[in-house]
Amino acid sequence: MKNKFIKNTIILITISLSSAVFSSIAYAEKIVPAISLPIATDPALNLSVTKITRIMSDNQAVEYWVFCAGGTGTGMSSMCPTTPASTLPSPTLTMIAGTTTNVTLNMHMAPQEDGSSGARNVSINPYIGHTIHLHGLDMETQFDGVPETYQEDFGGATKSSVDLRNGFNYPINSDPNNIRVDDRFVGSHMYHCHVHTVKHLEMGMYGAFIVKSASNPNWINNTAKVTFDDEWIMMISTVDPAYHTTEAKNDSAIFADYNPRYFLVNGEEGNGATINPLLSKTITLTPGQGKKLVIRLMGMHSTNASFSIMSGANKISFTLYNVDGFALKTPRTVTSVELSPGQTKDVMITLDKALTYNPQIIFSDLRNDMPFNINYAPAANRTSIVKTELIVK
Amino acid sequence: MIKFFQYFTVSLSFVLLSACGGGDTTSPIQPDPPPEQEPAPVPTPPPGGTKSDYSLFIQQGIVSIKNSPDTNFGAKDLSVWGFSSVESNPAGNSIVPGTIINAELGKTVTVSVKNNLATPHEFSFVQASANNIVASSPNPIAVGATTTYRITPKTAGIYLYSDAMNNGINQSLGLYGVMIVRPAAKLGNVVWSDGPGFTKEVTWVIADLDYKNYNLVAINNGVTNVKTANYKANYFLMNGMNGFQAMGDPNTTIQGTIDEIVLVRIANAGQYSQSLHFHGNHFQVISRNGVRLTEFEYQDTINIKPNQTAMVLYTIDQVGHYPMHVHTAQMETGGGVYLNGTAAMIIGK
Repeated sequence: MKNKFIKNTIILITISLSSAVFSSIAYAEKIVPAISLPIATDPALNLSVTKITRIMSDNQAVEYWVFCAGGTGTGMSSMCPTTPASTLPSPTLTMIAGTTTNVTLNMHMAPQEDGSSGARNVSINPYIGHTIHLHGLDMETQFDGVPETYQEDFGGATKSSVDLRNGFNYPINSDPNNIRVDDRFVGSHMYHCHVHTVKHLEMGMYGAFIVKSASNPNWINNTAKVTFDDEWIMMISTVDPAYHTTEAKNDSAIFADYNPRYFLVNGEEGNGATINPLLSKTITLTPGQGKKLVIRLMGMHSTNASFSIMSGANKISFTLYNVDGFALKTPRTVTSVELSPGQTKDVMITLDKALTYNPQIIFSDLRNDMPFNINYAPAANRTSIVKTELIVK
Repeated sequence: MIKFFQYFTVSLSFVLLSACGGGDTTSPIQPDPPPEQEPAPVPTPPPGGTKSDYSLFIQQGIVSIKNSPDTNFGAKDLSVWGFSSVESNPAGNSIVPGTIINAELGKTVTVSVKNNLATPHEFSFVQASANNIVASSPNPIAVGATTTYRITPKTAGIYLYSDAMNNGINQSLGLYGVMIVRPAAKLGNVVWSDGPGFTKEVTWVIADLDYKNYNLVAINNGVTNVKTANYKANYFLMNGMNGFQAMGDPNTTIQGTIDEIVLVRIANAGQYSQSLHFHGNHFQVISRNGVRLTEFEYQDTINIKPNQTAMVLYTIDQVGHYPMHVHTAQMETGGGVYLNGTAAMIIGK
């Protein structure tokens, strides 16, 4: 019988703000802090929560909640350090398959959902606090970050989901009898808050979680064992600014509708004729040698979406290797992939010519699969197609 | 009487399948499998039980949305139309989705459908073809009339039936259900002959509903006053239930002991794509829209588009409670109430 309950023991984390597995190639893409989680003993990596405000393309200020690494900062408004600045999406976490690591959520000074009275039929908002759900790692209930199932299995007279929501320790792989994040998981996963996700996920509480192969951190998975030279994470998300207001709490009627207004890749808008420079990546070829680029597609949006790589008006073929962080038995050569909310897909393209490509995400309506009309935007920007730029020199 | 003996291929509403394999263009699309051989007569009914005669009643009823236990809020009775197994005053949530028609491969099922509403309706299959279902009898069904359909399933799987009249409005009001076709009982718990095995099975019929712009308008003022352009779903149903209700429903819950394999048959009768995320373990996708996949890939999330179906195998490998929920913000709610949208529970024992 498998042992299902993890001992909270082993733990050490060293934090490297620039992951060694990332290439040193210079590019203009947005830098999201990347944190390697090597074999751990003690102490844990602390994640904290802070709020940031972004001015969107229509000059609206929108508040986001994000995770940051650390929790040792000073000041009354946030425990997050000021350097590096907190980002949307949250830091990328990377671990090696089969190792043991640990993440602790620090709740000091975290922004929370308004818990005041007046929220419909309750005097205290049941959705205060935060958790970490390691999306795709198939964690057991007590470390899955879901208050409702935690309460079901571990609640009682002396324990409730409040214990989980007030800060918690998430050991990953620490049970030697049940190594779950093994070679099967080599690929792209995500993490996010699982408290009142209709609100907290939309607020921006998500980041990438990459599982690397112990044999070769640049293998795309442990089945194909294909080595990549560089990687580009594309975390895609959508924003309905009404969800980001303080009125959107508890069981607000705001949540009965969803009107996406901003379409993001790595937290950046990019629809329109001009490429957002933060969505541009440059790769320099070595003469006579091609390079393999893996693009990690992460779906934290609330619409349909598809991905393709354009060269002018033509779609370029690429290869799909992983779905939801698990290897396909047979990689598929395709010209586009769909990415639904909660899904990840790892694709690879071989670059052997000096060309500029435009990888793009088309966000589309859940009902008719058509792109959205962004009626506030200038005429040239009125589609929900986010174009990025891949410059190959 | 004569209708009982007429064998016509029913006028079916066909929906073109957009893609298979998760919507990756140019990925290999498997052709419809050839019709399976009709099995020999079997002495015992297949898993889930079957019968040869079903009676459905098209009529009005209620989907009763329950309060969230977290906030004691959200209860609402929604008037719907449905294919009920009960002719008068269907209770609770028994009217949506319609009665599950359990059929055995190659064996003809007779479905009598009586129209108790004030306008004509129909009974038809979505995604039907000569290779999977052969049904008979004309549509529509006149007011007060009963029409009988003889259906001879040729391929095991899950099939969505509905009333597709009025540009799909009738279906969105609740007139939908599924037929499950199983291989011969003597083969035991296999998804199809020579297909993968399983130990338990559940069926998830998911849907969405725009109460204000569709149901209230249609029921109070007539279907012709419904404007399809105005559709904005605000309730998301699992087997006709809100999320908290579905998570406590034994027929919806994936549950079993370690290493048990649960077959989940899923059909989306709504207008919105639903991206379903499973906790606890990855599952294997074995079929999409009736197309049997040659490689059963592991996923933790699957997008089911409107009028599409899928079958997945979920192996229980952890003790505890785990949610399955749609991963789209609004659709986790029912009328804005959290976790009252599309959801189910997974229990490992």
